[in-house]
Amino acid sequence: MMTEKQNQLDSLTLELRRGVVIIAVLSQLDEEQYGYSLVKLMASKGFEVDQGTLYPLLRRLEEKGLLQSEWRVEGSRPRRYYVISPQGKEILTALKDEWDALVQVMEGVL
Amino acid sequence: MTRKQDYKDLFFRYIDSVGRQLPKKRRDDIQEEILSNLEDTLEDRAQTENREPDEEMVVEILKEFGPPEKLAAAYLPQQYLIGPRIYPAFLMAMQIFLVIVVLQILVAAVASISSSSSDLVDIVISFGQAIPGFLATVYSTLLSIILVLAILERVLPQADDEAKIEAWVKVQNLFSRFISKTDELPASKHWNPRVLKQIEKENLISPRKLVLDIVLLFGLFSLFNIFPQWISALNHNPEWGWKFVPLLSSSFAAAYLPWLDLFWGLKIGLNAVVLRQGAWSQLTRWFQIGIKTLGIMILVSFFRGSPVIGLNPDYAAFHGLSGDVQSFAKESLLPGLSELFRLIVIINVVIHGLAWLRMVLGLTSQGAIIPLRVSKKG
Repeated sequence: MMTEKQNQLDSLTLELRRGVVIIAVLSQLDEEQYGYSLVKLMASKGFEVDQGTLYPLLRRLEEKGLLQSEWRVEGSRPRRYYVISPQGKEILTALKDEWDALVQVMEGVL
Repeated sequence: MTRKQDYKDLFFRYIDSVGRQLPKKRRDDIQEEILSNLEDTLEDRAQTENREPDEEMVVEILKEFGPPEKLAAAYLPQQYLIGPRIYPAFLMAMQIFLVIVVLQILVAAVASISSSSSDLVDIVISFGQAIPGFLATVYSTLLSIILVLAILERVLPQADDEAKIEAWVKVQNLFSRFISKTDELPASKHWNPRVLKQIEKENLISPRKLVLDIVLLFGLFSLFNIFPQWISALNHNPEWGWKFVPLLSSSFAAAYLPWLDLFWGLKIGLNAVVLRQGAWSQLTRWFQIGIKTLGIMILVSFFRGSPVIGLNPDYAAFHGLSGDVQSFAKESLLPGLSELFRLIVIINVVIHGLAWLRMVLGLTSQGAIIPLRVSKKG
């Protein structure tokens, strides 16, 4: 029974977090980050994200024009660096406004 | 290969598995990025835990990344064999397919009846022999439908191409207007609530009618099983006056009565279930069609099988018919009535066949049947 309840909670929590991961990612890419550094940065701010979720997401955001990327070799290893694009910045501003409005609404609802 | 190279080999095997599921164009780039991230993770983990990287650590990291197929799927757009856009068309195709299948069954039934001998059992056996070939046709047609729709799923415009999506849905709506009575498929955000389908009143029941049906069916059952000799024509002749001439032939009881009993029993059972449920449901409607199918087959066997109308010596003796009356019945009265009966059977086959077809088409074109409660006229 507890396992079922926990599974249900985990699933619903995942749904909740899925809704905010994009705005969270965009907000951290004012400065260039590569995949793993972004994972660490977000984790340091309390937002844990699966690497298996983040890397495909970065690609999708780039395909939508919200991010820009380039390969760079630093040290021994090539890394793909991402940064928010001008279009991404506009979208992020709009998303932040939406988020603020949503937070106010939810405070009233909950 | 050294121990260090051993565990890194797992990384290469992993990205190879992921890459095999990615389109060629993007494969190398994605694989390189995943490998870079894997190595960064390994290096950082080794530093954090203050130990040398080893196979255990690599396995742990790969488990965090997830199975290769799951990671590969995350890089690709969601894929369906028959997705939500095509699914209404799939349902429509299946409805049409089902009607064609049922029509084929009917045609096969009629063909087996006309080619086989008189007995209903022979007819059923003959029909049964056609089933394997029929199933093969059904299977290949079904596969063709799925293949065509799967191809359509891949060539249709993507979700963000709104104009093309609207055009496609309008084509679907136009098609459905000629085929089905279902709701017009909504063209995304521009659908019209006014064209929503009316709630079908046919699902309302009249308990009085159902009870009456049950009583009549019991009456028929009793009459044909207990008092068959009373199924007779009242004939007047100046010579012998009014006489009851029994109509049912000697072969009737053996050839037809068990099937009629089954038919009436099923009808009584169905009416009782519907009465209890308070409304027709999808399942009971299908049962109704099944029973009607049996009824039509019995009617057809009347036409093709042993004579229904004839002089049964036992019944004749029950009514005290003399030899003259019996001769008259055999030579004049009963043959004429037999021809009339055959004509009535033909008319009934046509009427019930059309009703059957309407029921099947109506049921296959309906959406979910909303079980409504008993009608007020009750």
